[in-house]
Parts: sequence; C-alpha cells; structure tokens
Amino acid sequence: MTYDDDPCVAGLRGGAEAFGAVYERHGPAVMRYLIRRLGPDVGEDAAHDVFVRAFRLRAGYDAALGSVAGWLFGIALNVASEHRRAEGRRLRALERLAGATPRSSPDAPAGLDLSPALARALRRLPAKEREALLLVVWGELSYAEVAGALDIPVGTVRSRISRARTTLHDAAAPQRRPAPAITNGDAHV
Amino acid sequence: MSDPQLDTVLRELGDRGLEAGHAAAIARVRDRLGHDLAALDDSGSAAGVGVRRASGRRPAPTRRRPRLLVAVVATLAATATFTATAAVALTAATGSPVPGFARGDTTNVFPDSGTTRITDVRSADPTGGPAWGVRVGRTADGLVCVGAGQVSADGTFGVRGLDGRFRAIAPFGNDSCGPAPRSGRPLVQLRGFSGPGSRSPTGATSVVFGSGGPGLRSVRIATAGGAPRPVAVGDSGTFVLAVAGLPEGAAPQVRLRWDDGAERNVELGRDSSLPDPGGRLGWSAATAHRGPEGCAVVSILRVQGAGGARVCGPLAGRQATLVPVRAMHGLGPRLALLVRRDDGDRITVAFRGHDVPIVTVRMAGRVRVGTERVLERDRAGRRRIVERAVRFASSGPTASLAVLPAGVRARDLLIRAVRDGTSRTLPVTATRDPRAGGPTTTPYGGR
Repeated sequence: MTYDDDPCVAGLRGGAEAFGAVYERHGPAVMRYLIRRLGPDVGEDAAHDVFVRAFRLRAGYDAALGSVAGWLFGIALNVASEHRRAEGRRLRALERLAGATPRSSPDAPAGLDLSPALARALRRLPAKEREALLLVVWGELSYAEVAGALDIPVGTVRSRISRARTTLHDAAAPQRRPAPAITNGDAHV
Repeated sequence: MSDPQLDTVLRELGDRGLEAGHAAAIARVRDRLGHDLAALDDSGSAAGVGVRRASGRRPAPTRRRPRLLVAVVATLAATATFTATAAVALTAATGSPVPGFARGDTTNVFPDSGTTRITDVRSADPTGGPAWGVRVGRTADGLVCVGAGQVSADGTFGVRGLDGRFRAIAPFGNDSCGPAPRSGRPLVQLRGFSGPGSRSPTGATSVVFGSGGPGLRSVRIATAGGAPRPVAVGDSGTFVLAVAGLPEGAAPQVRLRWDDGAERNVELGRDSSLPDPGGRLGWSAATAHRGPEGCAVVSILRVQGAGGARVCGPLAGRQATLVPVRAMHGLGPRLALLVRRDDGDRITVAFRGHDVPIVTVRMAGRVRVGTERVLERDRAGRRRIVERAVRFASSGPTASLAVLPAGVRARDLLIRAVRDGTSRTLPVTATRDPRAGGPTTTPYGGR
C-alpha cells in the first residue's frame, strides 16, 4: 500500500506555498497532540518546529513507507523527546488537575472516574506504552499510522496499547469496597 | 470501562488546563510558518540539506550540554570574530540575547550558510559611512538570527573599522539567534561600534535593531530620554536605528506594536547607568558620603580619570534636590536630581511631559566600629587568638538620580512617588550649595 493519492504528498513535493496544504491538513492534529502532551506554550513552539523540520526533510518522505500523518508524528515524537522536562511537568499538572476541576465535556460518559489515580497511572506507564497509547488517543492516529510513526510493527503497537489499557483500566476502576463480614444472622445454615 | 470510554476520559484529561480551542495557536503557528518557510524556501538549499527519512526512531540519548559551556563557546567565538574585524568594540546589554539556549540541546547558534539575507531596512550612519542594515538568517534547528552591519554600495554586509576600511563580517559570532520573533516576542538588540573618528568615545555609533516577525506593525524608539520617533519596519519585521554615541548614552526605549494589538516595551543599555541628555555618553552613580545629607558621585562612564561630581541633598524628607554638575570631558554643565526612594516606592521624573531615565543607588549608612576575634600565629608558630577593631557599614537609604541638561528649572519637572497605585507629587528644590556639584578629590569614572 502506498499513499501517493494523499493530496499532502503533492504538498511535500513543492515549495513553501504547496507545503501549506500539509499544515492545513495535519497542523491542527499535530498541534493538539503536542499541546496535550507538552502544555500550551511548549506545545505550540514544538508544533512550529515539527513543520519547519518536516519542510526541510520533505524530500525524504517515502509514500511507500507510510502515511504523511505517521511521518509527521514521527518528527513530532523526535521534537517532543527534546522536551522531556516539559512533558514531565505536564503529566504532573494533569495529575493535579484530574480531580480538581469538574468535567467539562458534556458528552463524557457518565460514571467514569477521571481521577488523579488514572492520571498518575498514565504518568507511570512505561514510556513506550504511553507513547503508543497517546498517539492513538491524543494524536488520533490509526494503529498503522502509529506503527509508521514509531517505526515498529503493527503487532507491537497492538500489544503495547493493550498493556497500557489494562494498566489504566485497573487504575480507573472504582475502589472495591471490602465484602461485609458474614454475621451469624446472614450465614446460611 | 470499555476502551472507547477510556479514550474519552483520556482525551478529556489531556485537555485539562488548556483553553477551549486551539484555533488561535494554529493561526499563530501558521503565520510563523508562512514567514519561516518562505525564508527557507528562498534559500534554495533547505530541502537538500541532510535529507533522510524522518523515521520515528529516536536518536541515541545525548547528554544535555551545560548552558555555561554553550555560552562560553558562543562568547569565545564572538570574541574571536570581533578581534578579527577590529570593528565591534562595544557591546551593550541586549534585550533578548540567544534565548534559544534555554533548549540547551544545540550549539548551532549561528545561521546556516545560504539562509542569510539583508533585509530592506536602512538607517543613515551618523558618521557619514554606509547605511546600517539588518541581516537575518536561520539556524539548522529553526532559530532566527539577526545582526546589524553597514551595507556597502556593492551590497556587502560589514563594518568600517577604526582605520576606515570596510570589512565584511560573517554571521558566525556576530549575529544573535533566538526563537522566531512573533507577536509579543521580538528579538531586539543594542550594539556599539567604534568606527573611524572614534578616537573619542563620543564618536562611536550605537545601533538598535531587531525583528518582530511578520506581524510587526510599528516601532518607535526613544534614545537618551528623548521623545520617541517612528522607525521604518521592513520585510520580516526588521528595523534598525543608528545613533551617535555609546550604547549607554543611547539607552534606547523601543516600543513595538503588532497587527494583533500586542505591544511590547523594551529598554536597553540602562544597566545601572544614566544616559547623558546629549545622548552620546552615559553616567554612573555611586555612593560617596554619609551623614544627615545623602550624597552620591556621578561620573562619566568609560572615561578614566575624568573625575566625578558630588551630588548631595537632604534625604530625611520627601523632596527632590536639583544640584548643578560642573562641565566634564567636553560635556557642558549638567544638573543632577537626587530624591529619596522609600521601599515600595517607584520614582518617576518627567521633564516637559517626557519621562527621564533614572538610576537608583543605595547610600552608605552609619559606620560602626566593632571588634572581632581572629586566630593568628606568632613568629614562633604558636597560635593565639587576638581581638582587633573592624568597621561595619550598614546600608542607608535608597535614592534615585537623574541627569538633566543645564538650565532646567525646578518648575519644569514633575517628580512622583508611586506606591500601590497612588502617586504623590514631590517638591523640587534647586540648590547652589558650593559643597554640592563640586569636583571630588578622587577621580571617579570607568566601569
């Protein structure tokens, strides 16, 4: 499978003006991903860096190897890795904010626990698992695109995301109350 | 919880603490890219440099280079280049010198070859040489570099040295780099150059220059406490103004305004110095005496042995004192204004509606003589504890100083002490006290 029919591929083969189409198509998603991951200030600068680097490296894009989105997010991962401190600050801030403010999304499923424990579990995930999961959830990429961005097989992406989800499900599950002790009156005789 | 539910929760978590939409951020980055990519595109070499597939593979982890090392390398490089060109001699405090160091991961603080170009802004040279312009470039990792220089008739970017010869200057070590300038975040610099005729410091030229990005609408620059004047904005949001004199004499105040309404005020060259009203030199102020009156010495910066003038006034009450200062080093007589500044106050001095630059000094307080015990060895090597007298100086009141042209009358001045949003006008008393303003016995001056 190749991605030659992606209109952004033409943008990568032209000059600055043609490259504008790449930003219009993928800029919002890259920006949203990086801002969620690094915070608003660093994320905005990082998104700028991603597209400057992409412009410089655009001749190296190979449509046979993956989508433009996966290629761009691969660059975004490299840029984000240069801001580890900002990412750490952002994850710690999310942990504080998780339980501090009311739910903002009106379509959020009722009964879900957006708890500091979930944010903490996200922060403590192994970096490789967190990265794969957040590319899907915050970057809104398909598994194939994540595989392209991380340069790993799709099967590896699936396994990493599966492990990450399991960990987070456990953290998000409401605390089980201990079973009441069986009293004489309740005991079956 | 199902996977879609978990994803929804995680997305909501990711948006915590962020503004509702990213539209403004997306538009800002679009504007920056429109400017930056066009510059890369114009260079013609950007796309061919270091082309390879940008895979998701991470580069091998590298140690973050200490910022100090980066700064030292940059400083050494700058020094070497300055020496080679024998032209850039005086560098003043800059507004935003290489803020990109905060990233700490690169030593590429000079523009890539092929990315530099001279923008279309010019400012006449006060010594009659080639006009001054701005060079912009871009580093490998996207920092924007700006440099000031003279543009010769054949379009060469350089400076005329002390010997009058024009020499091209390379970007490396001369141009300063930082994140791409944009609304509210400009790159603004002040540099001093000693050119031909600079046998005296007053023959130097100071250049205020920078870039505010493509959205920069207007720039107004006030030098030496004068009225602000408009400066042309060229392509890439660059601007330049060359004035006669040393950087501390220019002490420019740069007011920038962008299309989106953002404004920024940048003050340069005022690091504990005062610009002379004539604009070419600067003054320093230091404590000289103690007593019921507060006294300070004002002296001309960089001119060794020119002496200083003592400026005294009562500091007990809330009033300002106008003191004559004798003529020094070719400068005519001046007036110095001395006013006590209490903690929490901000003093403003206005002369005919324009704010006058001021500097704040802390007076020496009462000197107390006490004793301290120290361990000594006698000639035989035996240790013993001796007690000796020492003098302890406590800190005294704080005063603000301004230097004004001779002939300014007290009634032309408006002195205010601002605290917690309320201001109080302070009376001004002119003095002809022979003790004040006279020459000191000890030469002051120089940094």
